Amino acid sequence: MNRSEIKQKLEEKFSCYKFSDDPDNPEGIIIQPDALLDVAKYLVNDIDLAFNFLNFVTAIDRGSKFEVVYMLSSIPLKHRVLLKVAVPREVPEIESVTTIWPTANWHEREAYDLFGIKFLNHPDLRRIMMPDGWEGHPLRKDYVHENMVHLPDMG
Amino acid sequence: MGVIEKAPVYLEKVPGGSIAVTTLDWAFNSAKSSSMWYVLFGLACCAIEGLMAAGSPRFDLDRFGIFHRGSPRQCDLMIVAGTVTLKMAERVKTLYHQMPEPKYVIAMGGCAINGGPFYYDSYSVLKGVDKVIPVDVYVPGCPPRPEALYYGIIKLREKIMHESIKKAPEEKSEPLRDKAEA
Repeated sequence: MNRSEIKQKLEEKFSCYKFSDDPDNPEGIIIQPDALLDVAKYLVNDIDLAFNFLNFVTAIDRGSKFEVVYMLSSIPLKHRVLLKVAVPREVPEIESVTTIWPTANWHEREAYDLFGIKFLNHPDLRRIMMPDGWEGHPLRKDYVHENMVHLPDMG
Repeated sequence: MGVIEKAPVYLEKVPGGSIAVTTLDWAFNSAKSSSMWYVLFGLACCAIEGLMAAGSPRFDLDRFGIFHRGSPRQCDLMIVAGTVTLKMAERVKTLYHQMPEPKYVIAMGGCAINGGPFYYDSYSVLKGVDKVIPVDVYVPGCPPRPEALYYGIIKLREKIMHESIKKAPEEKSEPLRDKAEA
């Protein structure tokens, strides 16, 4: 099942939410933040979709917003899809999908650690890579640190 | 430099056997330098080159009397091989303090010496392990060949042979600079 079929199936099921193709990725579908949990439950439970494997959760800094990315695979049906959810930079909050895919636990902790995205209802949301007392979220584009020096241009 | 090569020079025949006359410094330093057990501290790719390849039969660290141990409490030498992150720096320091005196440190590879060729501008990497623990020998390279590590170990043994029990022991436990806690 390819992206257009999956998208069509989602649009038939959830007429109240908007789905659009991701221009950056041939497998990507952009969904609304409030649709995430409903869509995720549908994707894992529907017999024609059966996305029972979450490859990863990560995030992208787009300046004014963050994109939270969910890569999903179906082991029995051998197809996959990329979900993208845009969250505003001022209030970077999104529902956790740990209850649906337990893999998401540490992946969401990583996205929280490096991007500062708060995953609501996460069982254990604390830093996973940086030391506990670390200030800031290093993979944000506006992050600065005293150790980050730039060498002069040698070219 | 080892005991075996030098021992016949000091042996003197006496009835019923032989005795060796030497300085106390030489005896102590030989004991310290001849079987340095090192704590495994592989943090990055240097661990593959320096600790695994150097310890393997092809290069054979055992012929120097050097073995790796799993616990720092049994070790005399710490070979810091790899990138020390700020989070790891506290652990490096803890393990260093768990080693019994006399203890020595070899900083192996560019990352352990000054942050390395790739992480010089990283927010998370300690710029040299000598900021948290005192280092005796620096072995440059990325990663160094096992032969380079052996050269560093031989240099360390030469350094130990010049130590004397008459001199007050250097205060080695406290590092000069401590940026990891700052």
